[in-house]
Amino acid sequence: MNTAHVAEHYTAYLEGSLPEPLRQEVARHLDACPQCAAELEEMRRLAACLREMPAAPLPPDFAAGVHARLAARRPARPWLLRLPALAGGTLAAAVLALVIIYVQPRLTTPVSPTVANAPIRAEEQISKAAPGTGERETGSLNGLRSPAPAGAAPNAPGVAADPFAERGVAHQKTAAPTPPAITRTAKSGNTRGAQGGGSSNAPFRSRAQQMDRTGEKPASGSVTVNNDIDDKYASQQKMVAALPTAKPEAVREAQPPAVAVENKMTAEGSNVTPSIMVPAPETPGTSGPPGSAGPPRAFNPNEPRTNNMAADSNATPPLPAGSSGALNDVAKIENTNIGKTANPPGGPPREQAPAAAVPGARAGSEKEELQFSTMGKLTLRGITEKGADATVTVETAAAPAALTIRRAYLDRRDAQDVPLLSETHTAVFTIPLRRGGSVLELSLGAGDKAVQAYLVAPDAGERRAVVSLRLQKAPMTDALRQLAAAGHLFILCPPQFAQLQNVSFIVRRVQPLSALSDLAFQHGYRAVTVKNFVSLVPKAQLH
Amino acid sequence: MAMTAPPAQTEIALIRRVQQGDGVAFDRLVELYGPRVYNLAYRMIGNAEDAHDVAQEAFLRIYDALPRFRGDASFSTWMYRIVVNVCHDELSRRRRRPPTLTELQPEDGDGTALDDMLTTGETTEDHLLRRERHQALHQAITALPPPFRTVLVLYDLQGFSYDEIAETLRVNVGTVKSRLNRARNILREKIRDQRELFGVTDSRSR
Repeated sequence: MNTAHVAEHYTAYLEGSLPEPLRQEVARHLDACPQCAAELEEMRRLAACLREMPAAPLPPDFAAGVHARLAARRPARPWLLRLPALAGGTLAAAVLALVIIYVQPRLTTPVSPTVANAPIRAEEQISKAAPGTGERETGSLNGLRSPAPAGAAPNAPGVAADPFAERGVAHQKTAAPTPPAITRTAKSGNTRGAQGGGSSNAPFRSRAQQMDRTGEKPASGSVTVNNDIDDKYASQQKMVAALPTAKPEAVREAQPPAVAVENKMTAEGSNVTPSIMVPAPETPGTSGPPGSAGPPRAFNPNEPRTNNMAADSNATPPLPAGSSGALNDVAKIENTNIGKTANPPGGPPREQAPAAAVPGARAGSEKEELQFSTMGKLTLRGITEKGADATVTVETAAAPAALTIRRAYLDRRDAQDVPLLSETHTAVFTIPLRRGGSVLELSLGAGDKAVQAYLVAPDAGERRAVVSLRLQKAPMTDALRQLAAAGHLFILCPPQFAQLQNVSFIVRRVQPLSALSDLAFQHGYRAVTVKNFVSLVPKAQLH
Repeated sequence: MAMTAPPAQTEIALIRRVQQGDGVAFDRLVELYGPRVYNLAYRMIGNAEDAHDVAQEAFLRIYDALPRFRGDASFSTWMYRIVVNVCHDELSRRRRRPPTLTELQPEDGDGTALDDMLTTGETTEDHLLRRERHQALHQAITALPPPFRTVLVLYDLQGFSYDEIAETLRVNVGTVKSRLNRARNILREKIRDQRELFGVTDSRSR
């Protein structure tokens, strides 16, 4: 009996169901062959592990969904009308109505005939309700082209596509139809939910107020880092603002599309608001894949996954290797760009690139309000509008019940009514990030039309973060390449993303970093890197 | 993870009522079997969102087919055959189009890890290891070829007997056993680089 032959009988041998002559033969082989004995032990453990696999919880709306699908495809039968499932549906509708009423005073009252102004007005409300806004620093990473490595041509397309200037001008022109996002947050433990941020998140509201005053729009499509920094954290912020020098291959002049991410993080009084552009390399492992710059905690999709959450929990927050030397320079550059941010350079306004015609995008209504149910303490509400930004505000009063965003927003029945992929979506919400890394799963659409991306935060510390994400196509610039070379934060873009013109995501779930699988990369997913916003909170400040 | 089946009398009575047009009885049937059907779909399909759809679709087909159910086989066998077929249809459909990341990256293994992690902040190493183990297994299972996956899920996760699986899949028991052993061997190979999760620490040379 050879090794392969024995392997055919592992299960039966373990169950004691092998007929006797064969069992003795297998036993003799196992005694003589340590490899097969080890494999048998693996099989034994595997079988035990399989049996301890827990049952996945049945989604609460499952039975009602079956009933609804039955009722939808057939003419109603008399008995369908008296099913208990309908009672559940009624209850759900009542809950939804409650939520709408709860949210409405703040979010829907401002909706005017020109619906595009709705988010702005809502923001005004928020701002007015927030006295004592602080001064803040706002920087633009386009200034980072100054300390760009030698490989970065100063007159590279990045100049023509000076992303922030371009977007700023565009915004001046299109301020009304493309309002800034509603940036509303609820701090951890604040259960007031939609009733407002209170004073605890003043820095964040100060951001909203500033935007309100200046007409500034979140700098999507641009390379910006906007930092709200408390004085006591200023020095640390400078440290983490540094970017390592890009490797030559990460500074190619090719201009693949890029993705913009606006990312805001706040923690216990400090408020860090980087707006991050995420370049999307043409292919995995080309410009700026993870690991190309070799930061200490860079996630390398090509390496076998060896993540250990427990070990990571004690890891030092990632900083670019050798970054300390360039720290102050970057911080100064950011400061010098405050003016640029608030007052974009002049020049003829440019039209924003029209959104591509996307299959699945609804060509119908000019305005649509999206109301989603709340589950737990999470509220998701959005306003979409054809041809303009869509604003989706997600508020959490406490730790969100992870999957509720997805279920609320991406349930296929709901998603059918969302104009997919043709508009910009902005999500602002509070999530707990973890030491050892978190993965924010972003998704837009559902089913075959779904587009997903993963925002990977290698080590967030056990902090809560207010995250505002805004992803759009943007030109690849040198500054973007530098960000990519920083290698700390990744977005995995599915292959179909390359065909999209104007896309953003809402965060779908937060996963441990270890949830990332190499499998994704084997199927053409791309890992693009951006600056690690996680390290903007110094570890010393973690509790 | 074997789940308790409803009592036979309850089952028979419910089926009869459904066949007589009692929609409430069908809802009850969905309540009774929903968790098992959903779990089977979840392990077969790999992610909760699609499993949700597939399991619901399976119940629609069960509803359509119930008038033709004569009781020659056990109801659960008959029902799970339909569920398995719906799962296989979905898997076939997937092969005809590019995978989404959700499909590529099955979920936490038990569908609850994330919620727990976020709400309790649990960080004990054992707990994390167990979750990682479940996750690794779940991913490996959903990467198994469907015929092997089906047998392994039915036997190891759903607690079916060899005979029940054979009847459900309309194959002989020997085939079931052979597929199960093969499935486990494939699984063992797939998780080889994560053996530390499973408490295997041998360093034999291969």
